[in-house]
Amino acid sequence: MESRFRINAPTVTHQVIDGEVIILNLDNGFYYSLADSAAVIWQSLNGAPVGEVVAVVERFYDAAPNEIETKTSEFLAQLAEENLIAAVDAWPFEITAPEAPATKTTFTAPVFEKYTEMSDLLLVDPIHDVDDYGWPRTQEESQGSPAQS
Amino acid sequence: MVFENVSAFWQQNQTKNSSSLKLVFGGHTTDVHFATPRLRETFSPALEHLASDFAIPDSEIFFCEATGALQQYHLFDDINLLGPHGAIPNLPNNCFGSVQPVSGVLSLYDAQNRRGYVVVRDVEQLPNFELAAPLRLMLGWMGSTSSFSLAHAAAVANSEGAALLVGRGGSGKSTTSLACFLNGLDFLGDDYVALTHEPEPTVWSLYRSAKVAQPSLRLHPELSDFVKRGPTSENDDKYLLDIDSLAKTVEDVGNIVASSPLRAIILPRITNEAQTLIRPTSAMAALRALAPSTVFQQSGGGAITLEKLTGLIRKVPAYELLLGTDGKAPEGIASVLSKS
Repeated sequence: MESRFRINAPTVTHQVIDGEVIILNLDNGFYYSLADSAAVIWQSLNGAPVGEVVAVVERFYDAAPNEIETKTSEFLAQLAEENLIAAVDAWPFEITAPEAPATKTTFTAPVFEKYTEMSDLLLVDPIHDVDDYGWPRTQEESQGSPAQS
Repeated sequence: MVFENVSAFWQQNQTKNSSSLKLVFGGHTTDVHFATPRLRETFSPALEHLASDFAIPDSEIFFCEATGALQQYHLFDDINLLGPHGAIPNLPNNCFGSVQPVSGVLSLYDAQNRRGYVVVRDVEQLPNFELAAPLRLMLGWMGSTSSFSLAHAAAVANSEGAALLVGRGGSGKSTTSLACFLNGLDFLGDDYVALTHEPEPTVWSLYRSAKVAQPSLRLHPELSDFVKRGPTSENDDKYLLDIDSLAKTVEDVGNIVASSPLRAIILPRITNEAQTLIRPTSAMAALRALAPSTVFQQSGGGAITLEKLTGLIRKVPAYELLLGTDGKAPEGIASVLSKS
């Protein structure tokens, strides 16, 4: 059975604007920017067999034999490592893909830009310390020192 | 059970001196009920410019404080773990809740019944960010389930329309918005505003407040006369300004306005160059500057907020504002608005 992936919603959310993709991981505060072939792969992968994703990319770009297949597979592995996508056995929902342009362009390997500077906004240390009346202690109260942001 | 507990808590907290304020923004009216005069005195300065006696509310927020015997009130039957942002687990569908980890303020919102609760433990110890932007989490949840979006952005305007200043903390949006205000542009907010998309993109003021860091006070020493409260801790290191007094006292400043049509999105970036420059930038750059800091501060409703912000950015041109030492940011923003 050919492998396929789904977008790791609802943890991961994304939007497409002017052919580029922004992805937000709502659990860890990381966000990503994808353009060119990376954006095409992202917009094609949800539920599709990997072979179909490769076929979509091949409709957009000219490349040496097997280059698109190799780079697409590598990129999907990177997205999985980031927990942005997850493997699935089957996909009962509609599979969509972006429409290819009339003329192909030269293929460049897909990459993502990853941004981590917002992760502290999620204040990922959960509160699990409460006082005698059941009020959660603030970070300062829990740590006995100025809270970490 | 936490909603039932907090509702009962509100009933205990009310006195004959409880009062209400109807706030109008973004096509919505929220009736904010303050259990005590102290709560109203503390939080209404940032909000009163939105007040209306005539609007019909479509939501309600109940503001309580836990003092004296009420400190012993058990709000949580079982609080083992709060998630990121102090998110309260196991709430009913369409409900949001969190305990802010630094301030300890509890916020709860029931989107189906459009009812929210805020419980403050110690009004005197609140950090400046709670006084400058009260109900921020609540408004984010309300926005994700209605027609407006809460945005982490500053905004200024003139007769042509509004410019939305976007970027993460430290990018210069607050200082730039104040500089514009001091130079005669109208002020809608320095840190959070509301956005609506229909019939045209519009910015709505939420807070009549501003916070500045020490370097900005050095750049604009005239602001020192309007410092209401200094930093309270390492996590609360900005000065809270009395922007209402500033507007009434200083000559040639702009007005604090309720709303303005959105004409441009501005990405300020501090440089060491002498000259301030402004140039077009991509929609993706604008979305990256606006969406992550807005969504990640929200604790719920992130996917809907991202979708709404993306839709808005598609409609409005974006510019990068390279801030030089010449202090010409207000002129740069005014020039962009005049072309819109």
